[in-house]
Amino acid sequence: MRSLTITVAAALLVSATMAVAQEAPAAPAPGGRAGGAGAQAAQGGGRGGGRGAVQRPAAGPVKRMADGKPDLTGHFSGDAGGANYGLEAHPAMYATPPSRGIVLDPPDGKLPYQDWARAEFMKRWTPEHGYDDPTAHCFVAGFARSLWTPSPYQILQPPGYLVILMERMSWRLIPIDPNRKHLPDNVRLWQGDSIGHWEGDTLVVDTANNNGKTWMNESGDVISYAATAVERFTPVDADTIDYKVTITDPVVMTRPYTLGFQMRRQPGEILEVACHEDNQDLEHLKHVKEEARKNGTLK
Amino acid sequence: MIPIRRGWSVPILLALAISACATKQGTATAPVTPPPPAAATAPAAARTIPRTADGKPNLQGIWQVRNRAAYGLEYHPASFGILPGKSVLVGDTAIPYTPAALKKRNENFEKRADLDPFNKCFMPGVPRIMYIEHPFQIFQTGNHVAMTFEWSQVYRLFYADGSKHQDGIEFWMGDNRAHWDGDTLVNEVTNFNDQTWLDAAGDFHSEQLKVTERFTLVDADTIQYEVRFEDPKVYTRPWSISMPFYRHKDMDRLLEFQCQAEKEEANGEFERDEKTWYPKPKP
Repeated sequence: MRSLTITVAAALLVSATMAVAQEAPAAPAPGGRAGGAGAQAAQGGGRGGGRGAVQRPAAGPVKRMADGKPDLTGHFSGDAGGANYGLEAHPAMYATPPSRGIVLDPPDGKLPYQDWARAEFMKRWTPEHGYDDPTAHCFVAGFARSLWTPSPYQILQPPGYLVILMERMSWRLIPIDPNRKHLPDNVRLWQGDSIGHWEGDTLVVDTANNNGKTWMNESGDVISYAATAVERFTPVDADTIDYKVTITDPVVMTRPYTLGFQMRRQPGEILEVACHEDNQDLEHLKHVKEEARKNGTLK
Repeated sequence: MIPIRRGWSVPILLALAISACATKQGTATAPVTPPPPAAATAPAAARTIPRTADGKPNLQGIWQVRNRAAYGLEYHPASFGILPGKSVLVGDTAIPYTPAALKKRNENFEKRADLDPFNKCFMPGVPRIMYIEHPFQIFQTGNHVAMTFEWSQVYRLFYADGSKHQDGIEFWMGDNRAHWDGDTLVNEVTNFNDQTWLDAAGDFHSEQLKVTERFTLVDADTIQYEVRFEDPKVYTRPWSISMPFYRHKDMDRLLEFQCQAEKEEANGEFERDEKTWYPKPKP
């Protein structure tokens, strides 16, 4: 027995491939930039016969708490079709896997980027900027990206809260309290400041106070400190939660946009990803960046 | 706000405190009888601790230690990087290391600046995460107890559903299986790696460590936390520590302290993105 983290590190190169097998409809690409969050799928088979390959029997009805509210408790993973490699639909590119796209609005599936931000996104996607992805440093993925990285999470519903524990060792605490106010404007967080309330069977979550340090995925979709979000968690059946998030980010976009996918219940328990404790990928990505600086492709 | 005046009897003040507390917990009927004499503190405490809907002690809230265990579990004077502190050992004056392990602990202490995994922002392990100087929040559901920590957004998830430990997987934070022993939450932690320390003084363990934690709500705002250590590779016999956690009454949410991100920003490895980071640069 050796530690799980070694297994994760050793499997870095296959991880993106596995993530594709779990998530994306098209052929896998080599995992040249499988740093950070993308690496986490490698240990998905650690328990209970693996994730994503399970034949699902028909799920039962939505479970309920004692107060009649939906019970969202469980071990879930975002079925987001490669969103960790691009929010818009795209083929494999720069050694990142393809994506089926999770942009629901605008209806054409194209993010309403301002010109500078579209250029910034295309720049970030290049291999020499892989080092700049905060999750390559094992930093927190951010309030939304945490939900579509190929890494599962445990949702708990203690009184007055929705708690999301990410296998990739971070958390989101969502107080369900319409009387709560957001933090002072100068207090900015990796996961933002979230406040929830119920609208029928949908948990609606307002998130503000983002620090703008996160990327939306490995390819570098852009989000800024100005972003505010309204997320909607709606249970579909006992094993499925429909997730939609509308993000308003006037620094980056020309208008608000909406992303969506479904979260699916997973077998077994979440494990522990010790990303930073054994981060061998970062040195590789740093080397790629330094080489690009030397040969002039990176200014 | 009730001003405390000289001449008020202690029982009245206690009764006021208890009734205020009960009101805060949302209890329908506040106790009106005066509290029992001090000799009967245990039964009084049992009546006044908050409980969850299923009758279990309600440990939920934001908590933190108020001691120096993070710097050394044994009674220790100050030294560089180490704040002085009283022992938290139960019944021992020193951790019962084997001779070889004691030698290693002393080497760890000498080289702590380089060797302490906490200085590398690695997950602190159990129980060290519980007494570093950062607040944490406890959540309870029927089958789970979760603890979320300000420090690097580490969390702990206890399964209280009768399930067994994982087989063949090591964890930095161990594998947690909990049950209730009366009003005490008992959590058994196994499947450790050998990479974490117990404090900044170099106290350590092997992958054979078994930790048994006991969380007892002694009053509405205090959890007594007891830990038993078993590790035949490192210690000659089991040993224990005990300390209180105090409720944060003026904090309504945890913030974030991302150890590695703060470090890399400070040393320039994670460069500021002027276009997206808060605050927006001045024109």
